[in-house]
Amino acid sequence: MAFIDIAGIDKRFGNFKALSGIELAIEEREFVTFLGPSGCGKTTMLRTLAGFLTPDKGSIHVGGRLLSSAQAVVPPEHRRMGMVFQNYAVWPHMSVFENVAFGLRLLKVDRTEVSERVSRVLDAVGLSGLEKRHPGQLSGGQQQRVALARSLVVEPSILLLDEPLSNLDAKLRERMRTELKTLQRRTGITFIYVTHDQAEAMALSDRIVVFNQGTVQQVGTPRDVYERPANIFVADFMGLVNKVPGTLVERQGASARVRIGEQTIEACTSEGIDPRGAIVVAIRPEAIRLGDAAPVAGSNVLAGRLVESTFLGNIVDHQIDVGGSLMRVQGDRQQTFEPGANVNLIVPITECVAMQGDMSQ
Amino acid sequence: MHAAPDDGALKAFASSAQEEMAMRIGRRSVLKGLAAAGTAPFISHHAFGQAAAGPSEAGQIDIEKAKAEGKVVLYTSLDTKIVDAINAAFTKKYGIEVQYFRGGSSDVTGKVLAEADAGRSQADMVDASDVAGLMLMKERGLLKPFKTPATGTIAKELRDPDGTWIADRLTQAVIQYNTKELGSAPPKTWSDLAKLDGRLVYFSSPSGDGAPRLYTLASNLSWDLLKQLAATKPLRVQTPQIITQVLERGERAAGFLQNDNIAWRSKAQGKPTDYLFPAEGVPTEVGACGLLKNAARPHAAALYYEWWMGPEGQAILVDGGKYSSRTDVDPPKGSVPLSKIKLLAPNHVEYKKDKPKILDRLAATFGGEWGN
Amino acid sequence: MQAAASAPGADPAHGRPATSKISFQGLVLGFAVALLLFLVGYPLLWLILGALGVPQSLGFEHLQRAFARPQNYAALINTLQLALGTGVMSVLIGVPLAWATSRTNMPLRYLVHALVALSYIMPPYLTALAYIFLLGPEAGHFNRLLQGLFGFESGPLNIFTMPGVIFVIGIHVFAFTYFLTYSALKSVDASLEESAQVLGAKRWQTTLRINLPLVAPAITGGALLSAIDSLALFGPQAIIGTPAQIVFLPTRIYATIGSYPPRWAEASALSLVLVLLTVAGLALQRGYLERRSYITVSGKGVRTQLLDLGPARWLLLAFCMTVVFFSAIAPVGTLTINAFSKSWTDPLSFSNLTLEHFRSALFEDQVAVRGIINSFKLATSAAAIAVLIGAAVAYLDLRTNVRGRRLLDYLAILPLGLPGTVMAVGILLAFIRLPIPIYGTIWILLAAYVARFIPLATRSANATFRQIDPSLEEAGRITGASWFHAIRRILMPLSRPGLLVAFLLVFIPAFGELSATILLYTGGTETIAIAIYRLNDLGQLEVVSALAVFTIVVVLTLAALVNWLSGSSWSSSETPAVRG
Repeated sequence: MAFIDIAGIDKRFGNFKALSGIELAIEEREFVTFLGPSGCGKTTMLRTLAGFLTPDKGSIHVGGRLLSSAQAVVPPEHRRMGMVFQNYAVWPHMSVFENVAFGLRLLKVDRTEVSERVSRVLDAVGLSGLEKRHPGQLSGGQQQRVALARSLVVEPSILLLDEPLSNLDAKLRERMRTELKTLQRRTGITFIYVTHDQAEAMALSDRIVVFNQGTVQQVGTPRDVYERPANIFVADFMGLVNKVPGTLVERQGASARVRIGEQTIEACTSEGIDPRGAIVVAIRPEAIRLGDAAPVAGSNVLAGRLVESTFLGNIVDHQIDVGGSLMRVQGDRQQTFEPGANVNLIVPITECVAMQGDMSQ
Repeated sequence: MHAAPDDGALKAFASSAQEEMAMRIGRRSVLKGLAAAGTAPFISHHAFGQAAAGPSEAGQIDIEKAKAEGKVVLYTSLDTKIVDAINAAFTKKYGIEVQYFRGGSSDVTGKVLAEADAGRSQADMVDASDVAGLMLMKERGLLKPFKTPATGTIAKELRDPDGTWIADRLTQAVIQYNTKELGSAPPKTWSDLAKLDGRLVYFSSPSGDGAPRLYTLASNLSWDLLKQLAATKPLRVQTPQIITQVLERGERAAGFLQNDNIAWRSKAQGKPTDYLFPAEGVPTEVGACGLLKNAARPHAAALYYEWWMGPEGQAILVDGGKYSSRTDVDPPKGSVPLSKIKLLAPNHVEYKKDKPKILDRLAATFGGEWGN
Repeated sequence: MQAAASAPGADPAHGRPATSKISFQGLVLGFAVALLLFLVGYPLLWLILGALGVPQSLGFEHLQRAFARPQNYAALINTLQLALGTGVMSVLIGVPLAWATSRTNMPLRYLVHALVALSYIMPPYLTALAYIFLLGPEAGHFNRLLQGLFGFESGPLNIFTMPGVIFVIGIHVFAFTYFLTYSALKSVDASLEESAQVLGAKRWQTTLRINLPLVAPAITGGALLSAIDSLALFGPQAIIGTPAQIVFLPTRIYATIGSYPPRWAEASALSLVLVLLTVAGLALQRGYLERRSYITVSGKGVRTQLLDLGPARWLLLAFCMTVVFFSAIAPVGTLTINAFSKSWTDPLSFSNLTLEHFRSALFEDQVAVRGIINSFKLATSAAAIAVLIGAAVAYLDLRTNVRGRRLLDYLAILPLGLPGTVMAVGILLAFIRLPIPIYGTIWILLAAYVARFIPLATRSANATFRQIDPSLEEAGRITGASWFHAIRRILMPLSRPGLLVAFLLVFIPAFGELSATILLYTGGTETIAIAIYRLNDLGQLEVVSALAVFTIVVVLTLAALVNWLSGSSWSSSETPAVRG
């Protein structure tokens, strides 16, 4: 059994089904991110893990011990997890020291040890010297670190983070990202992180769990999820992607041939594709190169006509008509074309993923 | 005080009235200083501006004019049930409405005086068990001399020789008690009451209108008596009507210095109460009334005054249990005639002179608010 | 363009002479301001002068003499005791109830909340009257019950004591602490509690270490407001204090004026002391709260979680119901039963029911009928005028840059710090002297009511206008509407619900006002409160009860109307919402 074993979790609020059949296995020392748009169920899953919500079906085991099921839930105060909230939830009527010491005092740790551990953890998050301040006197970033310190000082094995960086400005967010990653590596705590920002998820995670409408769409490393999206939704969510409709000509294992307009290309695919259904080929704009019509080994060459180009500084964004579909290509800023010109698109076969058409998205 | 008790009391009262007159000049300057601090220079002229036309004797009352005036405004301290009865009969006979303000006697006279100071007199006629107050009104020129045939039936000590005020009733301050608790052994004297620790009730409004009778009792018998009564920690209520209520409810066992008419009414209604006149002596209070000089409705007021003092009004008064001041009117049904009771007369001159000191002393004895 | 539209006087674009526009706007606003100064500033001035002995003399000896007297000194001590007692009591019952209704899953939360509101809306002198029936030392109903159950010789509980006064006033004013604590608790985001839970804190530890400390400023603020309010409640102090021989500052002031000749200097001196106490308390509450508040009651919603108490919630419900039983159900019940009983000393039974007291109260008794009519007339006019002035002050504050508008705002709020008794003394002093003959008429009552309740109207109007963006009127002005037109067609319709609420918020207390009225009324200008007070003096308890029930019904209905108009759920803030 994995360290954290989530099996068949269902949760509904009134008529609204927030989670359906969630199955996850999370290992120790992993940094796992629940990623998805608002309302997708990621926060609900996190709070169910924390013990604030009771599942309607399914179970959660941690370290072999049953923590949540439809019949009984171990309350949050007995789960020995840590949690950092989106609004930090730092107690305004206590000083920084008292905030951080709170958990230790509950555990009846003696005074000298409390003092020592609090100092250490404040040092670790870069807040030493601020023990006597009150949250009202701290910046957002500093409050964030107090929340972090408070959770870490009790040395939990699992830390849950609910969009902790979304209230910070961009620069601070990036800096905190790096610090969080370092912290996780150093302490070895299993981090379960919730966010809607895919860049953040990719920067931080060992594995990403993509949620949508209460279900898990894909679980994988950042690269997996980005390069081999399981469906249109994931592909779209993880970054810019061309969704080119086509028809499946033939399929053999993980390869397929798809007809796009008059042209046919080769693509990667997965087993579950239904050949009679609509087919879409997902191609990332940055994977496409504009060049000659000459065939290239391992790549598809498509003929198209330039519709419009936009100079964006570091790149040029081209809109190209390929057999009736509009594709977006990001090219070098030196490459310019006239509207209406004929251009050739060269894209490696591994970068073309054929998947089911617009049913889920 | 061995003459017929009521004569003696009245004589004492008369002499005090004469003294009162003699001291009038001296007191006037004092009163002026006391009276409404600072209002004197600012009184508007309204109060004295209108020369009050209107009848100065009963024969001059014009009933049509009275009806045209439409209503009478009365300030009174008399029990409302009796006032309502008098008013109902009056309105029935003449079709003129009576609007009245009822308060404790010192509230009533105080209001009339204060309103006059401010130039905003509202009342047409005033009636209160506060002769000292009416005398003050006369000095301030607020009362109108009026000749009424009732004069002939009222002892001259009980009316102003100039006809500005006239006594309409006499109230005796009795012992009332709950028959369920004390019926078998009622307290017969004031000193008997002092034995009923925690079971007594008495009245005074915050402005101290229960003070005069306490003072009468104390000055005729002794202040120690009051101290003893105070030591029983009596319940103090605002008005005599509430004494009856408290006794009827069984909240307390006996009340001292209750109005006789209220005790009479309670008994007549079959409530479990009874009352008696202690043999040592019963303080009496004179209720008097007068017409206001600047009344806005002089004819209607005079008509009402005549009704009030006349045989019909006084009969209704007696029906309510009050003793009339008219010598030709019987005492209330089932009541002892006044001549058979030892009355303790109030000394208005002394009371008026020493009022602040008296109130202070009462406050020291009983505690609470006495308007001092 | 926008600057031109909002600053009065600068309107070249429309070619209208600037002066005529200022004068109309200035006229309306200036009139309201003048009224405010006249009704509030002028009496206050006279209060201070009166305490210094003006116009007889000028000096401090009146103040000194006033406090040399043992009665006045005792009154001061008693009043302070009362304030302390009610403050403490309000915390003891207000805080648990607020916690129960805002943060737990106790059943019947809405009912408890509504009943607390009822105990506040009910005029406190009515509660006092009811408790004389219930806790009179020998024959009070509760005492009789206890005597029967436990065999006491005489009633164990005596309402006519200082604890009795504290109790009766306390069950009225605790509502301040309750509502302030309730709002604050509702504003504590659940994440503050959850983060404690995750760290291992059990429920009660979270409540004690997180929730309560966070709302401590609100609790203290509420206790202060309760104490301040108790200082001013003449009704219960007189009705229960006088029989108990306990004097308080308001009853002393009443006595010094009520007896003839009225002792103005002494009354003014006592009034100023009362004002000092009130203002000191208010300043403390404001300063303390503002400095240390951790909770901002903003318009934004806050996620809250209800605590599941398990079976303990029934115990909590029992406690809450006990409190509201004594504070609301028992008084209203007693008065209602008396009102419908032929004789209240007889036990309750169907043969004992009658409507004759209502007939007497509503149609027959002179004083009662006059009282009802006068109360309606006064409350309606006072509310209308107060809202007018309040709206003008609020408009000046929020929509103009007139110099001194802050000062005006303070002047409009000032009467909050003046107990009704004090207001009446100031008005008496001021208007006895004026050539305008309003003393002894109904107009002096109107003046007093308007002056007393302007703060309510101003605050309400301010909150209403604040929610309407000025750009709405500016858009109208740019399109060509005159100032008055813009007000009439844009501001007024949008603020109508809020101003209606302001109207009712003044009407309700004005309808049952006693402490100022008792000093200012005369024959013919009695109000319902006076009718009740006077009839009670005469022992006509059944009619009094009928009048009391009538008052409660009117006041309750209007309060429900306010609640509905505000569009607020029972758990949200108090500012009226803007419709449309």
